Amino acid sequence: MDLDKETIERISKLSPEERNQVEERVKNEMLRQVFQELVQTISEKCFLKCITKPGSSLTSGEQTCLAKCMDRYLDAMGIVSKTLIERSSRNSN
Amino acid sequence: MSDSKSNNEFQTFIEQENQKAAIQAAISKLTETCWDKCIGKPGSKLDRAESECIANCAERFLDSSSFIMQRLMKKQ
Repeated sequence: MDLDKETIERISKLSPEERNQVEERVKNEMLRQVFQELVQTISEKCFLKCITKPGSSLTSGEQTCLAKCMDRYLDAMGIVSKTLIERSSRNSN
Repeated sequence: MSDSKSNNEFQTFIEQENQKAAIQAAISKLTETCWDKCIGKPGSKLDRAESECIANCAERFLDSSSFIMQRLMKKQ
């Protein structure tokens, strides 16, 4: 996200309250994007793992697999985050 | 609060949000790569081998990219 001159100009005219609202909206928008990307990625990864032969509806077996797959994906993401945090604290010492 | 001061604060806010987004993107990308390498059929929990593989994968990916970067710089 880059701010052009005009945007900075317009933001400078806002009251502190309005500015807070803008900041809130930026945060919400970032969160919405992260969430949307996560849904997209998990759907793709878990579809590949669980729906090997698409039938006329999702079977209960496929739904069970999708649910497990989603939970495991979030676990994996947790391990990656933890690993990155540990590594960055190791590097800064 | 003067305009220029609050402008700076807003720009700092945007920089921080950008930084958060970059970290988030790195985590997402690494998770995708390591998921593909490490996970077979999703079970009721990640087994020990899978968890270790994910952690090693993340570390080795970062090692690999700094290795590549150093090697590219030497070629310049």
